[in-house]
Amino acid sequence: MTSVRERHARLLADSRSAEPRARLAQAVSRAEFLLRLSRTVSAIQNPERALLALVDLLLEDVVDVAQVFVRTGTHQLVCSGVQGQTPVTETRLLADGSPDGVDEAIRSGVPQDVVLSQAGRTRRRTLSSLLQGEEIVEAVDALGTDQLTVLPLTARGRTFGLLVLGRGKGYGFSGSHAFLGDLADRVAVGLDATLVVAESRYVAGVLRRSLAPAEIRQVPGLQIASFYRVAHQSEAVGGDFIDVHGPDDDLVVVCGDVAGKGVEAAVHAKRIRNAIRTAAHVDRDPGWSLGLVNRVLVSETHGDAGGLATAVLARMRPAASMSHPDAGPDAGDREPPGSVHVTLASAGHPPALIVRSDGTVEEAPARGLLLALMAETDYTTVTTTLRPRDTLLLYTDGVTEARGLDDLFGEERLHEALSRLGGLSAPAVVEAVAVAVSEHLGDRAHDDIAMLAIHVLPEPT
Amino acid sequence: MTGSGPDPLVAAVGPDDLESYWRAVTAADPDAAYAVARRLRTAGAPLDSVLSGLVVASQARVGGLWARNQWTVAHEHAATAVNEEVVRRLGADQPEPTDGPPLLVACVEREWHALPALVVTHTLRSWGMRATFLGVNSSRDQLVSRILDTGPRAVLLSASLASSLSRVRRQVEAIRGTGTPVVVGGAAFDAAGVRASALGATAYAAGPAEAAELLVTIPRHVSQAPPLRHAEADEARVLVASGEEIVRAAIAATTTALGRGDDPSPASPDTWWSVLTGFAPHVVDCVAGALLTGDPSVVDETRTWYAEVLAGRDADPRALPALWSAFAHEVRDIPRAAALLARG
Repeated sequence: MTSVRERHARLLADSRSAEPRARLAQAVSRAEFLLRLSRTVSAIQNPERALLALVDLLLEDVVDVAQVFVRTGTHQLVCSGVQGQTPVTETRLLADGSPDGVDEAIRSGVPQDVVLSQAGRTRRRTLSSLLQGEEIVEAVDALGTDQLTVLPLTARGRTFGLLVLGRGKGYGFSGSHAFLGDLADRVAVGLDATLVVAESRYVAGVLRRSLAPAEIRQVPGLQIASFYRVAHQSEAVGGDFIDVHGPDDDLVVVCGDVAGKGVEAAVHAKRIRNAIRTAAHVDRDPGWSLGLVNRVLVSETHGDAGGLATAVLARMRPAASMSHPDAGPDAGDREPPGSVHVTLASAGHPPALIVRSDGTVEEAPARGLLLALMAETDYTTVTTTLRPRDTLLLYTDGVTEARGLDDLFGEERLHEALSRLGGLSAPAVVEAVAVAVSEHLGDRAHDDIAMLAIHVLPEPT
Repeated sequence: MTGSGPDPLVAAVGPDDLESYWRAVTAADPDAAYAVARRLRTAGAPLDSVLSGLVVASQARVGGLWARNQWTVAHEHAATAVNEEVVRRLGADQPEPTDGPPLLVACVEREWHALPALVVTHTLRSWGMRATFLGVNSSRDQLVSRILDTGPRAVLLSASLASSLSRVRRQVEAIRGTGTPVVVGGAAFDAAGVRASALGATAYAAGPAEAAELLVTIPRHVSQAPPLRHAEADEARVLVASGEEIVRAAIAATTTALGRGDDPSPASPDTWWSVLTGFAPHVVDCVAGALLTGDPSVVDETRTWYAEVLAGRDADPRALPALWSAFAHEVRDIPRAAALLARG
């Protein structure tokens, strides 16, 4: 292992008057270093970490002091490193200001060498105009650095940052300016790409959070679990949607799927999710809600096939809270305490399944046309009762259409899996189905997959 | 009572605490389990000792009871869910850590055991480290997205099953591709870290304390994982690519060898036949893991485990040898894989 001093000398020694072989060796070392630098800076597409990696590398192989400034939007990232210490990155608002020399160098875009006086107030003033932070100014002062080199970072015709480098006492940069210019170019191109990625990821992240399925809330007496996997995982949004809304004693749970994948599908899914919420505010009957949402979608999409969607809605109310005009005195036996009444309607969606506590699996026979297909259609409702330890499962066709070695996962496998899950908790049901689907898929690509399980908890004894 | 600080007599997790906790786990009662843990925390026991003394200890019992066929899969699931919920609730009681660089904790693709990674996450958080759990079955895309957005100091990758080793490798490649160090841990690895280093991980940590120590010393940035070019790695890739066909053929051959007809009724997950066939895909993945890591004990350990679990279910004693020779036959054109299966 060579010492830091030797490594720095290998790249920065003034070899202009050296013998040809030494000059060639230095040229090779410099080229190798620049390649490593480019790879390191461009592999790390996170700005803070890219700056840390850059400063680490510069301290290891080139200089004893490095500070890099990068401006993005309303912020400035500053990473400061001094030999023998861990570099530190901080993010500041541009409005909070920078040292004069830094502003000036970024404005002019011209590289410069700044010679420091040996000691005294002038030396400190010069350092403070080029370096941000008391600590690094102190450290450089103590190091006895004679000279700082200031390298603007320019890409696509715009100077967006600055690299300030210094060496220990007695070492300068003569004979290295072409190399340092190359170095700054490579750093600028790499960091510029990283900043572009970070800015678009930020925008995408804000959109993603607004499109992602709402956080599923918990409701007393019930246990709710969900599963959501999108086809295009790097986009992290998809056309499946799940939702739970309304008062605890009159809940509406939703699972749906719009045609298409990715961001466009997610935008449409969000609109339908909101439309269902709005409709349910007016009338909580699932058939009525679907009918209204359908009429709105038909009028908006004008038969455009891209607007098609399926959805299943279930309204859940404690059985005890409802009047039973036809219930006899033995009604209590059929509906133990804690039972939940469910009204379901479906618009072309895979049937909701009820997993009884003994493992019996029932289909809710709600039928209806896809949403946005034709205006004049009715969504009839069906009803059922969930007893304690029963589970209602809503899912999208990503589950049943998961492609295996030679067939789709299918309803039969789903029913078989569920028949072993009677009485289990909602998370256990969702996880067991997710595992079975994942094993069936292997490494094959899949469609968006969503599941929502609602398990009725036994009354506390 | 005078003095300050935790009372050493109440602050430690005692055998009685573990027994009360265990009763709650057995009864699938998360509230009662949490109450035991909460009481210890209030008495001053640190989160890491509560997690290791109650949660990890009881989960080991759960696994043992399932392995010996004293508990059904359903019972095991319910108990595991209690342990997970207790960790989450104890974790939520903690203040949000604010210092230090972010850390990501993830379970390798196709692994659904959250508990070990959850324990690591909340233990590190209780020490003030900004660890975030990404959930079970983390895909490479999800991991890379989170790395780009958060710029973590390192990713801690958990793998509980030896059959996950080939997927650990793919994930190590993805993580190192972003320059981020990756510390692996979990039951899939050996204590000496041989498997971890063969797969290109930056380091192996036996537990949260070791991980915390490593985070001080490992490099802040790592290079791409150099490709595995040895012949064993090529075989592992072939094996994984044709894994499903191999498993199907091996199960069919075993069915014939044991004279079992087609059994159309849905099997209970607790019969020995369900266990034999359900875990068969792991055999192929373990062979791939042994090839990638150069560690044949991956296959031997799997066979030993299989034999114990099957014995606990009164399996046909011919079943495991039959499955093994069926696998050896199916991979006969992949010589190093065949040799690993022939060892048993």
